[in-house]
Amino acid sequence: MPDAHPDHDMTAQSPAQHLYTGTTPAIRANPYLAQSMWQDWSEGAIHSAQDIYDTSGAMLWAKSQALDAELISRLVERDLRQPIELCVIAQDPVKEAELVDILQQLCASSPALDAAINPHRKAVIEVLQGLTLTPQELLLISLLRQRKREYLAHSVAVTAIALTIAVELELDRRLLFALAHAGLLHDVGRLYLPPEPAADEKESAYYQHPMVSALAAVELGKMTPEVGHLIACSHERLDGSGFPRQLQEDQIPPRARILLFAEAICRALLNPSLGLLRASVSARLVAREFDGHMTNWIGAIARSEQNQNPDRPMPVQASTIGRRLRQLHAQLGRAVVLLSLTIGESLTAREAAALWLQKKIAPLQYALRASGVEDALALGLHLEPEGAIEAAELEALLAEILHRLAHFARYVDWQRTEDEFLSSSTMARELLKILQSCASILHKESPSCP
Amino acid sequence: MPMIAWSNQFSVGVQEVDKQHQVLVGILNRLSSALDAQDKDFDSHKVIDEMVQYTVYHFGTEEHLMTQIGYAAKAQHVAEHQAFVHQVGEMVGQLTQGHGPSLEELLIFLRDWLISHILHSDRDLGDALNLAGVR
Repeated sequence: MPDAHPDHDMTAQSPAQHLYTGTTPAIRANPYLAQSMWQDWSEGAIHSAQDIYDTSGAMLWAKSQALDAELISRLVERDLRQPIELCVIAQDPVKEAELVDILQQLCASSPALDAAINPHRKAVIEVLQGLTLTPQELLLISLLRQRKREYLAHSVAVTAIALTIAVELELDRRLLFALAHAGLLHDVGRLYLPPEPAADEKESAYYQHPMVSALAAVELGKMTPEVGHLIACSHERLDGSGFPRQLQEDQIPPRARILLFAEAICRALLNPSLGLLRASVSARLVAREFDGHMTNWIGAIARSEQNQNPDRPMPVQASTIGRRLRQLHAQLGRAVVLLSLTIGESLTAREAAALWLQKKIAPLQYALRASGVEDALALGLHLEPEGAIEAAELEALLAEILHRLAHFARYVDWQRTEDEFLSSSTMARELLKILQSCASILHKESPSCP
Repeated sequence: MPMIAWSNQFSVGVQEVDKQHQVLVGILNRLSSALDAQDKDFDSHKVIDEMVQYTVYHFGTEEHLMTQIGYAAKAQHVAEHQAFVHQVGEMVGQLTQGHGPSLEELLIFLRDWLISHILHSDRDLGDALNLAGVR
């Protein structure tokens, strides 16, 4: 196992093999991007904006011609004079005006997103309408839409949430545009990675995508380095637990904090079954993960929504929530004990790995303690929420911790394929078993722990 | 190899408490080694009794320190101690009568409880004691 494991740079261990970076002498089209241009789209949708040459000077395609399957296959085999993204345009690209339509459709189907952006809706729409997208930017986000409509919807939602926060924080209007470009492009890296990765490649592709998106935005989308930096930080966390570079708070500029926060809560806001409460709980779950202004902002919106519906029905029986919390408490306790037994004074690779795993688990256990379950157990009581609001909060807390544990379990599993020590570690195997057993807590009805 | 290797992660920042925790860890390690070695001459019940006695003494030390600084979470912390003493008493009683948990199961319970308690409740207490100037 590498010594630097706890803080290793994920971009260094598995570079995007097929991404054109603008610095390689041989410029071939990225095969997954080329596949998107052809398979995801109808014939004639992509045209050459100029004559396309290979490096030997042979013209592969003339200007203003629709690309076809034969050319696409040649593009990935020949060294090109210029990156293909700079030589083609989409015939029917996403237009700036469509972004507002997409946002309005999302708000209509996602009440939580609607409530979140409502205070600054006008300003957000003005920025979206005032955006001028470069042809390459239009191509990339159009390809993203063709790959999966949800990808573009997610990007628009992240952009709108980020702009709302930026307006709330009274950021200079000039600065909002960089944030908007970054929001729209923050996932275009997905186009350069396998659309349906094999199980063992899935995590690797996921952890690469922010950096690939940043490179694509700057080198192909003609964005400024600042926009690239915002995108590269879109999955970082202020406590150093994000990816791909595990940056610390002082390495993440204020506007990047807005984008990463918007990215983090977007899933909950877009999903009507999760909503504002889940977004607020996930924002507050781990101390110092996000900027306090932003956690307060989403917390205030969620509280206001709760106060408007004080008579909501109890989500599940109080005793069920209490039992699930106890089960989770027991499982996390087992994980912490397991890891503690591995850590000694001399920081060997084995201990470094355990310390790193513990660093990820400990905040979740602290979050669970905040629910009061531990105190209740200490006093010989069962934690049972008294009202529907408290029950909903505890349920959201439980679901968010389980969601993160499931994600962490996948990550540990992936790391076991990458890491010499973890691959043979009994401790890692035992930990995985514990984490995976947590997944059944929401569905298991018979109590299995004290 | 000891069952629990003492390390800084277990330190709560208060010398007296850390020392007592190390004694408890030492007793558990002794018990574990004897079980591993299948030492027939080893009086496990005597060592468990020693563990319980020392634990009660240690809890007394902690509770005295809590009173000294007016510790806000004293009630919960003391309740954890009481619940532990009650549960261990029941387990030892069952073990003596030949039913209930095995010696190995009791050992694992003691190990897990001690580690969890040190890492959470005692660490919180340690922070409060440090704030009050106790080290």
